[in-house]
Amino acid sequence: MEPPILSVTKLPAHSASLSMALSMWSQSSAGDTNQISTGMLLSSSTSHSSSSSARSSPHDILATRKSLEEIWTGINLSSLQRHPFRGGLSLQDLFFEEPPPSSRCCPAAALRPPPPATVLNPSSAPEFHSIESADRKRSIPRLKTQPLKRTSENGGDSGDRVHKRMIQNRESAARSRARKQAYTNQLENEVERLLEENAKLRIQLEKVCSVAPAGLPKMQTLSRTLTAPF
Amino acid sequence: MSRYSMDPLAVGRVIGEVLDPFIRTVAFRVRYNNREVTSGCELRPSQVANSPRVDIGGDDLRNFYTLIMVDPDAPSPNDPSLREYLHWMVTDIPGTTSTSFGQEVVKYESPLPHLGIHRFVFVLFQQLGRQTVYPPSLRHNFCTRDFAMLYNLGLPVAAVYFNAQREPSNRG
Repeated sequence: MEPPILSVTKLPAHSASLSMALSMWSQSSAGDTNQISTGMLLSSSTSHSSSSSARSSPHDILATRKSLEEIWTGINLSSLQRHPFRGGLSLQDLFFEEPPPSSRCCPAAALRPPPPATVLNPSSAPEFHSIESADRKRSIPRLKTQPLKRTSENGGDSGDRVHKRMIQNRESAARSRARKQAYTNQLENEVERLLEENAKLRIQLEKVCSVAPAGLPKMQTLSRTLTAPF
Repeated sequence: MSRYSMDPLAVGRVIGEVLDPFIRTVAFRVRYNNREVTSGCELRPSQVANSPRVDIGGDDLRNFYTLIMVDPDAPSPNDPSLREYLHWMVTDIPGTTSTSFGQEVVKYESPLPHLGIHRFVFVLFQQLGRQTVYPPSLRHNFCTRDFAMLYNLGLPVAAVYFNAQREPSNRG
């Protein structure tokens, strides 16, 4: 059986269509090759355009419909707010815009988590995890005291101040722990160093003591000297 | 050989915020009134009012070193908008000698921390040659890393730091 002739000479470079081409070779029946090739092209990715024009028109409409849907789901109040009144909002603006991340759906709440992350970054990274885990333990009992403060003043403003104070307190607590740890480490290193020095000096002293006895007999032993005046 | 606990310079975030990781190659002793400064110790502003005695090691009188003293927590550790504040700079220190043999190009300014607990860092660099390092025009917003790059000082050869906070004015 002669191998099927590839009807599509210009195949795009990405691997999906290459694997499809390989699967075409594996098909034994020559009559099915044309149908297989059209089916593969329709299901291949939307971005390539080297397929024949007759087959590409239904395929392209499919592609545009899909991306429109994506855009419509992406459009919500927040993205409309982000383009206030810059000479009118056209569909094209939203077409070429990247779909907004899901976290932006609630802009008010989104404002608070990013600033603490950036403010906390200057502090030491290994302590970041301990700050986070400690925060979860502490934030639960603290929430009871917070509402009492908030109702007496303007809601948003004092909340930010309290939050900022909390962050600062957390940072200074982390710094204080780092200070304590650094001091302890310094002391430990010093102790180690001194113990080593001590050991070395003891060894040296032993050496000196073992060598010396041959050299100091006169000083250690008693010898008779003439002391009487006569 | 023995258990090694993490360098106080790194734990105190001096390595990271002010300096890059380096290897100590030169002996370095900073003494205020015969009280030796060990990394992470706390001193009172009254104890550090005057410049310390700094002895450096090295093995050659023909090598020249620069000493820099900065406060990375100015004006407050919570809001270090003036990071780093340059307190002292001595250049052209010959190896195996002390700062009294060098050029004090930025006069020693007594640390007076107002808010919070500040770190004060001493850094020693080896110069490429004599009279190759020049002081900046301003003390605040100094950047040790950029300064070292500007004058080809490379990585530090030694560093030590201490903590200080405002002294209560009325001592009973």
